[in-house]
Amino acid sequence: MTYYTNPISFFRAADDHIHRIIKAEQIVNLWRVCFFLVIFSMLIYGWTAYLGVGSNLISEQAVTLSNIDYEVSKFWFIIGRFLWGLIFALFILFIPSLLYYLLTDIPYQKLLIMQQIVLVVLLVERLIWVPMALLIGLDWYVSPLSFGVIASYLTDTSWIIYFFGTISLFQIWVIWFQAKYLISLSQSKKYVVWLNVILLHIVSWCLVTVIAFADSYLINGWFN
Amino acid sequence: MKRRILLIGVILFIGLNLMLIYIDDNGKVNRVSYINEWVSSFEADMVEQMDAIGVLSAQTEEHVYFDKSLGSFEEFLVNEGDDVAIGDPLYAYRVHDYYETETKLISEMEKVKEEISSIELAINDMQMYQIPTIPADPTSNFNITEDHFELQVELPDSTKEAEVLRQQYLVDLEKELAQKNAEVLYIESQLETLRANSDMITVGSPYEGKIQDLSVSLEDPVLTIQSEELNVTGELTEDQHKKVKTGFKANVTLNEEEMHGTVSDISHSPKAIDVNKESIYSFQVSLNDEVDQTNIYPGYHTDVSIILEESIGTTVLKDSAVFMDSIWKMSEDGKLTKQIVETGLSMDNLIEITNGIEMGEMVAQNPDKQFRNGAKFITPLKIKQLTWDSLGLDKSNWKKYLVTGLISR
Repeated sequence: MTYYTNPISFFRAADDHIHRIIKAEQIVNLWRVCFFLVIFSMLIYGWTAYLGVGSNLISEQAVTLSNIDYEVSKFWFIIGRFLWGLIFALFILFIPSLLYYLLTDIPYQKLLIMQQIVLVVLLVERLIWVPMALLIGLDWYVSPLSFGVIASYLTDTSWIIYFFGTISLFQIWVIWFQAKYLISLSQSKKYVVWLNVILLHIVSWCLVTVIAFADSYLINGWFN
Repeated sequence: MKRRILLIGVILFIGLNLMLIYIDDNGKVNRVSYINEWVSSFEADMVEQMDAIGVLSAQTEEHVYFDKSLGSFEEFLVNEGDDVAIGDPLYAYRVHDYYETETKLISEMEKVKEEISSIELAINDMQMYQIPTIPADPTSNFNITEDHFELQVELPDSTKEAEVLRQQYLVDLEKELAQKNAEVLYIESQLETLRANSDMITVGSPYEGKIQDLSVSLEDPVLTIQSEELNVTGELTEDQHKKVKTGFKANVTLNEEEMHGTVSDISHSPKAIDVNKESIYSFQVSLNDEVDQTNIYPGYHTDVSIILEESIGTTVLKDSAVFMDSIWKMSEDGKLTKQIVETGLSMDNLIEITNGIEMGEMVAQNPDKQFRNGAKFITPLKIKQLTWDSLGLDKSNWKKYLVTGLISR
């Protein structure tokens, strides 16, 4: 049977959709949805950057640059965020699907559908970061939806706070969803799937932590 | 069942986090401040003004009297409204006794001439006097005494002060000299008229100005002469009186034209003293020399604004950037710090900052709900500030900013 890709209706009836995906021989609309998701990702990242969310490194130059130059730096920052939105969406859509494709016997296209859902959830997380920063004054790593707040109380070491700040409810949901999806679609043993998924995420958390920790050093190193 | 537990667990988790954030007084949780509007401090001239109303009036009013014992009044030689210079004939009278008057006039002139020579001698002495370069004992004074003149000199403490004082004395002496010389001329002219008309003396005007009043009935004063110079007279209430001192600058506005002047006089006692009534004090503003006095006449009403205090070229902020007595300074490491400041004058919607901020520092403006001390700040893009020119690829460190955009989470 043919499955029509539609992330929005997926959320309303997830189990039903998964069943249909298992049985589907033909998948329609896949690339169109990917395309729109990439566009959305760019727009969301561009808009949040326009509001200034995540621009702490730029703020350090606020006082030393002239008024115009400060705005110019923010402009290029926004362009950078646009690009990152593009890269992020492409990465989330295609790379984990590739990895799981290599690990399991599930068709690549069906894994793409899974990653589309994951991307939607991650984009929602980034949208939530906007009111958090603007109205409550909290950055992503101390979101009340993550473990960063508790980590802040227990330690002052920045990379520990970043690491636990990366582990948010959204991330945990993604782990659960991916595991469930993969188990439904493949013949692999449950604990193998869980192990792989969790390991993958831990690796990505470590990467994010390293970049978050070293960001200002990297930039100063490359450009000064 | 499992779902419900999960939901409760999630809500508890979020609640715990929120509570931890709320009770965080020690800054364990890193925060971010969103600044929507910000400005830099700049330089401005600030003044604190007091407004009053005034009316233009003649600066001085001099009176001329006639001593009836000198003779019998003959006639006025001027009319009301005439402009007179010093020496212009004002009135003539017939002397009762020619020779008596002549002798009196001559002896008066001698007296004045002697006074003149005394002053000239004193001026000479003063100019010749060598000021000692070693500071002298301040208690040693000396006197210059001439026949009709005595001058007491107190030695000042330093050479410079002595020089200043000497110049000042010389100026005063020369002024007196000029006055005495004018008196001599005046008496001479009287003598001339007397001798020419054998019994009639014409009295010349001792003052310059305009004839304001002429008393036909010869009631004293027979003539009132007002100076051409105008100044502004006004009234101050008790509260206003406490704040104004002589020497304060004042701006006088008449028909949209602004004139500059200085408060030259403030009366020490009010027009009427009564417990139940308001005390009104009068003040005078003298107009500066460069003010054009054509087309303005006594009686015109003006607005006066007295400058109580002014700070020229001082550091100033818009009042939307000052919160009670502190400001939020944006610092070089991208953090927002609360800074207590001392403020000075306020004018329009600007506030002078006397202490706590330098010129050109950036501060955050209203609204301040998101301002947290020590937090990193973020600002939105202000498109209006961008120009097409500034976005050129050779104009800025664009690569650095681009990469910052790439690697931020």
